[in-house]
Amino acid sequence: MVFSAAPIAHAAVTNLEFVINPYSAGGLAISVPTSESFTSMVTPEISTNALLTLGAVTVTDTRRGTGGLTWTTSAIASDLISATDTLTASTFSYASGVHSITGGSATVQSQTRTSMNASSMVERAIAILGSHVVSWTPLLTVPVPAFKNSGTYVGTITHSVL
Amino acid sequence: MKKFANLIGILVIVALFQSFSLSAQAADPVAVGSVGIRISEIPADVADHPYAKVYIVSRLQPGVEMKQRLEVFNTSPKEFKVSLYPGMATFVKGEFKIGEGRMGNTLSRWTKLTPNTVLVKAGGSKFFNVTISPPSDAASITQYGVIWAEVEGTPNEAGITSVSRVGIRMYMPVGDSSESPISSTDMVSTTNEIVVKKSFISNSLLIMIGLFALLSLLFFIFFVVFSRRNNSVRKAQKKNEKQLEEQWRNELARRRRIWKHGFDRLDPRHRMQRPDAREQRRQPEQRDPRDHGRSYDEYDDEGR
Repeated sequence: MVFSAAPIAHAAVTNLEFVINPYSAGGLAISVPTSESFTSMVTPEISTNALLTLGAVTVTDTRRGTGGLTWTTSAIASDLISATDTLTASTFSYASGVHSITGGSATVQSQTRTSMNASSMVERAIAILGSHVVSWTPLLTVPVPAFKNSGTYVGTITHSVL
Repeated sequence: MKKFANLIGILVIVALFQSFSLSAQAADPVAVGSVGIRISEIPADVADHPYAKVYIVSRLQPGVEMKQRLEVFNTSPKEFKVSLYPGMATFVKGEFKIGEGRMGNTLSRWTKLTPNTVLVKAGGSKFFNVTISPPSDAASITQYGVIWAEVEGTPNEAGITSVSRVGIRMYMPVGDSSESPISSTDMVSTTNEIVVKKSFISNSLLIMIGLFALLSLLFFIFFVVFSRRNNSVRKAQKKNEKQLEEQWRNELARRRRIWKHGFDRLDPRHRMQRPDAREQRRQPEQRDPRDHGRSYDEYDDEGR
């Protein structure tokens, strides 16, 4: 479907014609953040790992790929900061665990991370054929050094897909 | 045959089990809904571009503004505030890499999103405009970037805030710069294309090489067949020779025996036929004049 857009006052605009994307639902989507609960831990006397199971991350690809499309999900974490202390993101580990794929067909690859201070791939799909949904439940391992100050540590974990 | 059928049966059972386990896994994650992004309008000049439906791939001209409409949708049962912003990206060795957070680059600085925050109802969608204004002195290179749609969760009791964002890639050649490949998989296919083209240029050479290979194969087959045939002939000849030699050896032995003992000792039938043979031998002076007490072997083999 081709139509002319309404005349635009700006003389330099050249793209007056548009084609409506024929796929009414064709897009890439990521699951909305969930408020998963984590158990608190007592200040450890020896270095201990806090295991945080994050909410399931789901990538819904309805772009109807025909072999050349890919998507990559990257993850990054900020340092976890309390009023008096910090847990640094470069020590966090991230494991995707088992991923599931429904519909379509795609080669899905996971990458376990041992540092989370930079945005890097955790899951990706290549050779995509058709629409599909890929889901995984990441496990974030946060090493807590001995005698860390007690308090609520605040931070952010971001999943980006494109 | 029965074994084969059994094997197929086992394979079918394994496949069934796998499909069951797969569907069990697929049902596992709780559906929370998603926030997604899509291209709702494709500029007509890139309508035939294979990736125009999923990425922003228009060619930018220095000093010329370009507009495109995108859509953000929410399939979750909750209303979400979606932040929209352009981000940086690089394309190195066939890999499209993104920057952290709201890090920008040249293309993201040219890009304005209106509006840049939308409230999307549960199951709803909202349009937004991307306006890219490259300056008149923009360099003729390909620019890379991302249009991000971001939703932020509420901090949980552990203090961790989950952020999800989904993006649309921008591969935008500026001016007369060449079009860039889209992804690493495309890089591979372009390389293949180049190889194919190269072989097309030397088409006649390819045919000649093929012909040569075919001929040499034929020669090889002929050689093998003939050498095998020659071999069998030679084998037969050798066998014949051996047989003849054996026969001659037997004959020699027989003649030697006759020389030493005469026919009568060899075969009793001779004695019956020639009753005077014993008498003849008793008179040595009547023996064959050729015999001078020498063995048979001292004579030439005239009969040979």
